[in-house]
Amino acid sequence: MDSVKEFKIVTLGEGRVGKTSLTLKFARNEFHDNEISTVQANFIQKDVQLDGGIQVRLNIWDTAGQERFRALAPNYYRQANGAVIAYDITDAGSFNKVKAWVKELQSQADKDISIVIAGNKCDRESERQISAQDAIDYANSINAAHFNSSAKSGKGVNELYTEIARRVYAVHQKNAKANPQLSNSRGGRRVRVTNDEPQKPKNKNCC
Amino acid sequence: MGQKSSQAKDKVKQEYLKIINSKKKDYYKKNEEILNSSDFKVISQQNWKDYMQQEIELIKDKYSRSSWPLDILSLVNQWNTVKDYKWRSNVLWYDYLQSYKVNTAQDPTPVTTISVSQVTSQYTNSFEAQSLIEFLHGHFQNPNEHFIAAMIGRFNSSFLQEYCLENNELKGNVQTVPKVYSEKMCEDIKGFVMLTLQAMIHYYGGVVAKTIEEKPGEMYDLMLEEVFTNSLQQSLLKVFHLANKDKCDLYEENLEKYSGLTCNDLGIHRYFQLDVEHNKPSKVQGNFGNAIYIEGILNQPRNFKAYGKAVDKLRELENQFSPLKKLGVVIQTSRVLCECVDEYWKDDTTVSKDDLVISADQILSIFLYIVIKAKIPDLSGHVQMICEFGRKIIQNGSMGYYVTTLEACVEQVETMSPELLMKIKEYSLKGY
Repeated sequence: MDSVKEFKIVTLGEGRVGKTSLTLKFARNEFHDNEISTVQANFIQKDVQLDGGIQVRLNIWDTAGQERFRALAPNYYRQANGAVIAYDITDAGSFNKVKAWVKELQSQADKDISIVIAGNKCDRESERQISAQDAIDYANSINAAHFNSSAKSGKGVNELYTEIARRVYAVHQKNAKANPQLSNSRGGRRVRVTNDEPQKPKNKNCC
Repeated sequence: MGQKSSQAKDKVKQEYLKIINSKKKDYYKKNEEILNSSDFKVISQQNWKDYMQQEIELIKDKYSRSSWPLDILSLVNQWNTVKDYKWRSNVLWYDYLQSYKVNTAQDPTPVTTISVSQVTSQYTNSFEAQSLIEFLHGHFQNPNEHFIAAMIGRFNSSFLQEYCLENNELKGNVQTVPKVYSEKMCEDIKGFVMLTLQAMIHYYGGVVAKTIEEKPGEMYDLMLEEVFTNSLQQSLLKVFHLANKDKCDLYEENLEKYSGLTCNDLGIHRYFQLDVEHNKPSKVQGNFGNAIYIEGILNQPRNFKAYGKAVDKLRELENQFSPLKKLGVVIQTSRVLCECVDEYWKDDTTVSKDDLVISADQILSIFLYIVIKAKIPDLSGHVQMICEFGRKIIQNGSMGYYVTTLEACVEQVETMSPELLMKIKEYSLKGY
């Protein structure tokens, strides 16, 4: 009865870098034609297949990019397992915002949070303002992955979400190993509804 | 003649019983391990009361400052266990019947990324219940005969006596240090819910114990639902209000001050400005962001009933008193909001599906509009109740997203100012 592991991924980045389109592109096949024509692109759930047949479920939270909502971001990245931070490769300013987000996450978010940086709009290579190498070097320096992506062509989109899935799952496995469930010394069935997945009570035998 | 017919009847009856017996045997065989588990034996010996006493002993120290553990203990001591037999054996019968139900075709999965909690459906107090959880809910309506139901009733009265006066106002000591008491009251409720789960393992054993083992989260949600009464939630809302008095006052003051804001004032994208009476687009003129266009919109008459269905839906927060039902209201509001947009644009062929994609910026602004129009007093208290008692797995999923959005709206109302509104206006004029 092993259920699919769920992870919370938050998407950050300045307005207009194409965050919402990126998530939407990734989830597009999750939307089917139906009577509901209005699509809420702000929360998306999608399963990702990892190597070794492991399936994980990503709960992807889009966040508001406008500056006026800046102060509300902590509400959204609270308890997130991973963050996708997007910038626009044709806009140098948006890359500086990435650095600001990283700093904030490092000091405010869960200490184990995994980060993937997305250089979006890579279909407009000729207008590039951020050197790809600089971006990769920066990502390496903070132990994050970097992908060039295009919500328009779809390039790099699946790859970057698979990478974040791989990373959050690895962290989860590491933590699970470090903190194995304490066995119950009293014996008997105990119910535990913990923060994460509900835990099975320790099975028997009664006192 | 008559004798023959009665013989035939007897024969049919015999055969029928034979079939039933063999089915029963199959059932017992299949579930042998569960039925013979130590817990089930506990039931047959009728000494689940002893286990309950032990459970309460275990938590007594942790909740030594509260009166409910001792109240429950005295309930256990006085309880006449004979009354419970039918409820406990019913569960076995229910499970047995379930195991022979023909699997009917499942409803097709709804096309949505949002899933709603199990415990929001209507329950029936009968063997027709769709699931064990629903079936158990029926049991809890009988506090005179059913121990767990009695326990829930006793907890509620003990809790209210401890923190509230007869007129339902909070007691003086609670009012003096509301922050301390709000934590204590939440701890009491959570502790009691866990005790009910533990109690169910001993009380029902077998099948229920197995379900609690496999789906502790769902069972926790069920018990949480059972424990919450209107008086309980009122006392929590009051203590939350006192604990955050400054912010609550600010929220109420600003709700009054900014009640006339329009969608445009809040920076909602043109496609979602449902309060504009004649907002039909003309793709030829196109540029929604430009100043002339914005001016045009400003001069349009406003419909103050825009998003009305969503506003009404959100107001249901006040009628639903358990955290999970409140959560359900928030999710439904997010759906109704989409319906409002669909309804508004349904006859307009110039708007394509791709235009009606609601981003995070937009959902926040639209929800803010709905919150301002709904004018729900103590909205932060309702949100706090969901956050306090909802499991993390719920909070980090789709349902959590909209609760967080609502939480963010409350903060937005609290910090609303003419400067902020000016900023939004500038932003809109830039054509975002």
